[in-house]
Amino acid sequence: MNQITQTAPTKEEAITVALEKLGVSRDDVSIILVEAGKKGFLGFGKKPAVVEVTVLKKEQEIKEVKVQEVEKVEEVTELEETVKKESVMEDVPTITNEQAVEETKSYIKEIAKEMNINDLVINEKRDGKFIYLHLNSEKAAILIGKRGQTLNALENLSQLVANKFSNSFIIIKLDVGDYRERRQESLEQLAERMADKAIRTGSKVEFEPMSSFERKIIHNALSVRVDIETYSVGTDPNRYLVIEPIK
Amino acid sequence: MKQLIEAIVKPIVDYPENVKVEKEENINRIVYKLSVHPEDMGKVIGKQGRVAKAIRTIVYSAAGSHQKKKTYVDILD
Repeated sequence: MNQITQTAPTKEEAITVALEKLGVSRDDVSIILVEAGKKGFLGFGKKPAVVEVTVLKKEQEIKEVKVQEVEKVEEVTELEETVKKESVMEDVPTITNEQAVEETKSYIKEIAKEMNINDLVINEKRDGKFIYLHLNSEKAAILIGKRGQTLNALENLSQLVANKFSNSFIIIKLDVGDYRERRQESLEQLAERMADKAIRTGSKVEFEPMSSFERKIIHNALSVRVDIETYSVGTDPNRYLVIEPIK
Repeated sequence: MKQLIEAIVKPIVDYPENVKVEKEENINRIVYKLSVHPEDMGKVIGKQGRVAKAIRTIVYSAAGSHQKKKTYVDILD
């Protein structure tokens, strides 16, 4: 059995980090909240959340542990339930969206083929209006491009195609391998480093221009810090993020 | 490369039969001239040139991997 204890500013973050370390999905683990974190006020009384994550192997184990943690996970399941309800309500239009998704997939495959990628595999996952398409190929690097440029371009274009065939608005999210996840991780690390630099030098630190999605990741990562302020300046596509230390 | 541009553009326009791509090559560069039905102009350019930019990004990354010459995509009106 595989078990680790993870500490992070929030419960959710601790769980995500732990899952990443174990390399398993949320469904395969039992999560025990050892200590609920506190955000604190103005930096006082801040307490990190501690979770204990155990990889489950046997059905029986799952049940046993689940009974124990029912109370603790209640909050999470409630959230999941509401999400499910939403997708049930939107199930009616998704019948016709079937075609849109199929068209989008063949569109991506067609482009990949012209880029000399012949081993492309697409997995799909749906969540309400979001369609997650997971691409896998030996030559993933070509599909990602510099800083995910190609991937983002492909995402934009496939969204156009999808909405041309769909009768309700849908959002296409593309990922190649675990690129988005790794990118998020490195952005969060970069954010921390830059924030420390801003504090150390006592002056503003500017990032290079990034997409709104990537800026959001950084804003989010630094929202827990009280010693700095983050904001964005400029107009797209040259909008960039600035960290300013609070004096 | 021509097929790549057609594969990208045809599904997003209303008149796929009017999509034409011409190749113009000289010593140090290759220019692909894309022409579409006048009503589709907006579709291939997009808000703030977003679609045009996406098309170019994909074409450039594909071009970079198998030819040395600089590649450009022009949209003709």
